[in-house]
Amino acid sequence: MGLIGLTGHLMKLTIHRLGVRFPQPRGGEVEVLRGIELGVPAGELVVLLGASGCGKSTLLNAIAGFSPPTEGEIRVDRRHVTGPGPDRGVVLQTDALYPWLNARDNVGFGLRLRSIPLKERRKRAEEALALVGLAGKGDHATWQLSGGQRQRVSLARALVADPEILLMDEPLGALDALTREQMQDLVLEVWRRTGKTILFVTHSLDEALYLGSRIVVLAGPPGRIVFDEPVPFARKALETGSKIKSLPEFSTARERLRAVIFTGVTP
Amino acid sequence: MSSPQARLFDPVPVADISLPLLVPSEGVPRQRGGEAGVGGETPGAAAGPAPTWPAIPPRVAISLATLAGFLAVWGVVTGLGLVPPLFLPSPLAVAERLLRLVNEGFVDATLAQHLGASLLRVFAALAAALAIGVPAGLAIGLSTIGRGILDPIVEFLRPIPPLAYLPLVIIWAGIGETAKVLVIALAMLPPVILATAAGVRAVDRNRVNVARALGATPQQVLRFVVLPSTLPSILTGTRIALGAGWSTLVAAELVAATRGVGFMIQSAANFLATDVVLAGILVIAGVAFALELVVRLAERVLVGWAGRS
Repeated sequence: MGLIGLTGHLMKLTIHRLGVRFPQPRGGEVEVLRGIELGVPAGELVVLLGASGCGKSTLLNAIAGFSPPTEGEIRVDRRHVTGPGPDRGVVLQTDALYPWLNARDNVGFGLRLRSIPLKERRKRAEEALALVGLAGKGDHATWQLSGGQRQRVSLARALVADPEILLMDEPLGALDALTREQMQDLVLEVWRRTGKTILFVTHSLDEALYLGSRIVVLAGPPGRIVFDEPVPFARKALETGSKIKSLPEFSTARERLRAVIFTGVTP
Repeated sequence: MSSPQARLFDPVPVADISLPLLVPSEGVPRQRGGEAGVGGETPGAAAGPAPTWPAIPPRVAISLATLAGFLAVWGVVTGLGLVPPLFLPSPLAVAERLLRLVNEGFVDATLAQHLGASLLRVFAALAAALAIGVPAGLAIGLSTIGRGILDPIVEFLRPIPPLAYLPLVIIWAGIGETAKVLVIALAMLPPVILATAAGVRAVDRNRVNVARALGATPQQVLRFVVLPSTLPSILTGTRIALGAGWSTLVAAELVAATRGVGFMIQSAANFLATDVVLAGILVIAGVAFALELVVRLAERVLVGWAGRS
């Protein structure tokens, strides 16, 4: 698939023949990703799913520009990715907040880097905080916030820079089960309101089915794409909420996905 | 059916259990440690009328008692004449001498002037050590080349006692103020460099990556992420450096000084004025303790976040 997807739209993100190998300390190298082909149209919420060590995070890091690909290319619109940039926002499993800044200044960090005046920075940070359900919490120190709240701040920090693609690397992995469910709804809500293209890494089947408008399964090592299909539930969930998790279709899809991951065969 | 508990187990329409899409933030902000009273009762509330002075924490009370005990033993030993005053004057005599040092001074300068000269040297040396040590520590922590160049120099300098290179510094820099400041600064440099480098190496990779993804240039990463992250380590290094600086002070003031607490102690020893020696030692200890408190206060104000997240 080239720049133009099957639907005829220009792809927001294009990955072509991507391979990543890491040199080993004792010589030689280990192949983490091989021949990744992926085209993501604007506005999709793609969930990258796979067992531990299959290279999902490496793929996300390569897209973010943190680790350069060994071969192949990554493009956002027509631009080649050569390093990190504000067109690709990241939310990581560890919130990586700056504890010397309060919640609002953490959110406004990306604007500060662009020398946007304090007043506007504050205003836009407050708006982003409200979007993630933390209105009025701007003055809180990061260590006064709960794990879920910290991850909300982290999400708001990525959103305030208005990235074209949001890269989320197991952002809910460290949260407790109940908070995680709330945060899944928040991710869907943010997706609906902002229309961002989102890549979301997880190893939870339920989370993948609930959130993804499309699921891409990686198997490895070396990591390669073994499954890539659209999923209907996320768009339904926007209308009906989490009850879709108890639909029989959801369970069927879950079992099918499980088979893909553990056997690599699509039933 | 009427009891609210029973409803949970009844089959309910699916629509009833759906959550609103934008859920409110979960939980309330964490309490600051210690604010939440255990059991909801203030300790000592039942112990009768409230004391009129603020309660002294047990640890501080024990420390104060130890100090008082030490002074008492000192007083008894000298009071009974077990040790001649030439070797150990009584605490009262030392206190009296301290007062006279403040008012009249010793060897042509008051205590304030001696102390001012010493503090000036220590702070000039600290400024120099920070100005050189922090960039050097950043270089060691951030770049392989910087580490390759500076590591052997630091490791060479670190174990040498300042007294060993004092003669060399005097040959190079003469017997003026420069040599004294230089010796103290050299003693302060390794802790500042090592603490800064350790702080840089401990910077969370994710915090750097998030900043880069927000468009930060390498300079902005250094200024907005690496430096604030490293500040707690730099302050720790400063505390250790101040200790090293004070220990070197007396040695540095051995040579051709006319003022300084270290110089005062040395001159007093020449005249066998043991009370002045003891008073000087107490002043050095007291000032070092006060500086320690200042740095701790600075830590609380500047990097109160450290250790909480």
